[in-house]
Amino acid sequence: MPEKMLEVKNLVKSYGSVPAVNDVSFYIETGEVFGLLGPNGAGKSTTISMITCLFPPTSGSITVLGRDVQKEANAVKKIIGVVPQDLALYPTLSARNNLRFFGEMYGLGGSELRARVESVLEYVAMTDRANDAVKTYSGGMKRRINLAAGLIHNPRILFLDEPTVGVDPQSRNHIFESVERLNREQGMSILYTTHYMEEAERLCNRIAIIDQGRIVAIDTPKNLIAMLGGGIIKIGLKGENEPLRAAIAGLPAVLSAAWLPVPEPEPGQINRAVLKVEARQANDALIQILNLVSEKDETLMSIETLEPNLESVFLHLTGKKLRE
Amino acid sequence: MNWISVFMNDLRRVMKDRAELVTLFLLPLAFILPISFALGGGDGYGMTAGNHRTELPVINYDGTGTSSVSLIDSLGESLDVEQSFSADLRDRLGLSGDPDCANAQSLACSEKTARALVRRSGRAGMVVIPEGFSTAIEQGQKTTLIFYYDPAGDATRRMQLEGVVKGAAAKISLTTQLNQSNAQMQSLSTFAPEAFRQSLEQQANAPALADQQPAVQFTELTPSSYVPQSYPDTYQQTVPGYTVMYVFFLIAYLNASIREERHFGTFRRLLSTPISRPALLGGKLAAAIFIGMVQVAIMFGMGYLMFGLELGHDWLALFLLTLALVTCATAIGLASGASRISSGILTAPLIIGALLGGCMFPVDLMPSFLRTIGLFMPHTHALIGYQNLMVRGYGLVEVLPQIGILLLFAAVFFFYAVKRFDFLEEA
Repeated sequence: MPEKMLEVKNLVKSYGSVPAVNDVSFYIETGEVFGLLGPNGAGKSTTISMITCLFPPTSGSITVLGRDVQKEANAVKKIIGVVPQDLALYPTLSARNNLRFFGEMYGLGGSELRARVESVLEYVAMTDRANDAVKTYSGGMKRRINLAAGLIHNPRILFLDEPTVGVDPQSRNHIFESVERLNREQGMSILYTTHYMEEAERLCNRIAIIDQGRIVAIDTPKNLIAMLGGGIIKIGLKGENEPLRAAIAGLPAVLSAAWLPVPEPEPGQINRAVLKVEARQANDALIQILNLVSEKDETLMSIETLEPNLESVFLHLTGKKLRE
Repeated sequence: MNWISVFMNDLRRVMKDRAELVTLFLLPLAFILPISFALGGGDGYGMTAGNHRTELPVINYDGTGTSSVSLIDSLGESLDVEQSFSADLRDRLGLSGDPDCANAQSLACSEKTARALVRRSGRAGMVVIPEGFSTAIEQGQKTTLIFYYDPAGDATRRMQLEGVVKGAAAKISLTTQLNQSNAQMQSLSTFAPEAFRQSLEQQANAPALADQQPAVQFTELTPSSYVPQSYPDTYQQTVPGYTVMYVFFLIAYLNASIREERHFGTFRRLLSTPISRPALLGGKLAAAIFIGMVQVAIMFGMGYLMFGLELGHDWLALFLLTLALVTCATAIGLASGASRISSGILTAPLIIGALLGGCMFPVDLMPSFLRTIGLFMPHTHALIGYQNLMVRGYGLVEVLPQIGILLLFAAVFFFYAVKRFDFLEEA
C-alpha cells in the first residue's frame, strides 16, 4: 500500500467568525499528483499556506511523511517545495543568483549548490538566459524560474499554486511537461491547485473540488465526471412549471431535474425559470425533453447542453461556474 | 547562518538598483561637494574660517594724512579693511580690461573694483576717504566720508558696517576738536595766573588724547562654568550635516525593500524555507546597517581627502556614534516597513527632519521654537555628537549622551516594529 506523503485532517482557518477553510480533509499518496480545483477565493491558497508552514490553522492537523507541520516545521520545510502563485523572485537579480540564494536557504552550499542550480536551470530549459536579470524575462520564463526555485533542494513533495496564471501557451505546455516528468521520472508527489479544469483533468490522479472553503468532492477525474452520467441540460422556461419538471425527471434518459435559482428579473422582463437536467445520455434526453415540452404546449425560452467534464461537475456540485 | 545569505542578497540587490545607489551615495555627495567648494572652507555661517571679521573696502584718496590713517586704523580694530584687491578678483569681476585698471595699483581701479564687489553683494558696503580729508579736519573745516552700499544687500551687515564707520568718524572728530580746544587754551594761558598756567603745561605734556585710555573701558567676561564653544566651519557643518541627512534615507531604503519582498512574494517563499523569521529580518537589518556605515565612511572619507575635514582624535567614539546613528535610522526604517507607510510619502518628513535637525544649516540660525522642535529629531543629536568630536575635540565620554539618545530612538521604533511587523501583509 502506498505511503501517505501528506495528510490533512479537519483543517479549519477562520478570520474572525468567517471560515476561509472549513473542515478540509484529504491525503496525498507517494508519487501521486493531487489537484485542488476551485474558483478564486475558494480556499486553495489558504490551504497550501497552512501546509507550507506560512501560518497555523485554527484547528485540525497536517502531517507530511508523518511529521506534524507545526511541531516539526523545519524538518517539514526541508522536504517540501513551494511554487507560489506570485512570481516569488527578485526581479533585479539573475535567475542564477535567485536560485543560489533560495538554495542557500535550504542549507545548500559549495559544489552541491552549484550542481543543483545548473540541474534545475537545465530542467526548466533556462540555462542560456540564466545570467540575465529576471525582470528581462517573459511571463512564461519567469514562471519556469519560479518552478525551478521550488525544486532547488530536490523536495519529496511539490506544491504548485496556480502555476499557469498569465502564462503563454508554450510556457504552459512546458510547465505541464515538467510536472509530468517530475512525477514520472522522480516519483515526486505533487499538490496542484488550479481553477482550470483542463489542467486538473490532464495532470491529476485525483482531484478535490473545493468551494467556499469546503471540499465538496474528492475522486479521480474519471469518477467525478461519471457522476454526471451523460451530461447536463439547462432548459429556460417562462416560469416554473412543477408538473413539467416531474414529467422530465421521469423520462427514461434523465437522471434528475431541479430548478436553478435565477436572478430577480428587470421590470418588464419575462420571469424565466431554469431547469437543470442531469442526463443518462445527452442526445436521447434532449429528444425526449423536446417532445415532452411540445406535448405540454410549453414555450421553450432557451436550451443549453453541457459536456460531461469537470466544469460541469463543478456546476453540478456548487451551482456555480469555475470562473465566476 | 542563513541570515548571512539574506544579508549578502540584500547587498546584491542594492548594487543592482541604480536609483537606490544614487539616493544613498551620490545625492549626499551632490550636496556636500558643491556647497563645500562654494563656501570655500568658510564656517557654518558662510564666513571665512581664518578671518571672522567683515571685510570693508576703503579707498583712501587722502594718502598719508593723519586723520585718514587714524580712521583706517580705527576701522581696522573691528573690520577687515581692504585697500587693494587681487588680480584674480579683478578678473572675476570683469575689470581686467577696464581702462581705469591699466594701472592695477591706482586708486581709481581699486574704487571700481570695490564698487563692483558691493554691487554684486560681495561686500556689504565700502568707504571712500576724499582728498584733503585730513587737512580739512586739522583746519576745523567740515569734510565728508562716503559710505557706498547696495540697498538690495544684507541690511543687517550694512547697518553693522555703518555703525562702525560712524563710530570711527565720530572718534576722529571728537579727538581733533578736543586737541584744538586744548591748543586754544594754551594760547590763552599767557593771560592766565601762574598756577593755572602750570596746570595747563602739565596737561600739554600729557599723552595726546587719542592715545589715552577711554573713560569707559570694555572688558569681556564669561561665566565660570562656561565651556568655550568652537563653531563648525563649512566642511564641519556640511559634511556631517548632509551625511546625517542621507543616513536617514536608509528609512526609505528599508521601507522599499520590505514592501518589495511582500509585493514580489519573496517573503512568502522564504517563510516556507527553513530560515527563521528573526534570522530573515536580522539579515535585512544587518544589510541596512552595513550600507549606512559605508555611506558615512564614504562621505567622511571624501571630506577628509578633499577638504581636510578633521575627524577628531577618538576613532572609537566616531565609530560608536555612527553605529548608533545608523542603528537608529534602520530601526525607524523597520518601523515604517511594519506600518503601511509607502516610501514615496517618506521623502517630505525626511527632508523636514533634516532641516529641523540642523543638517542643512546651523540650528543657531533658527528661531528658538524650531530649535526646541529640533530636539525631537535624531538628526540633531547625531550632528551635535559629530561636531563635538570633529570641532570641539571631545572624546567618547562627552558624546555618550548623544549615543544614548540615538539608541533610545532606535529602541522605541524597534519595539514598535517588532510588535507590528507582519511578513505576509499585502504590499
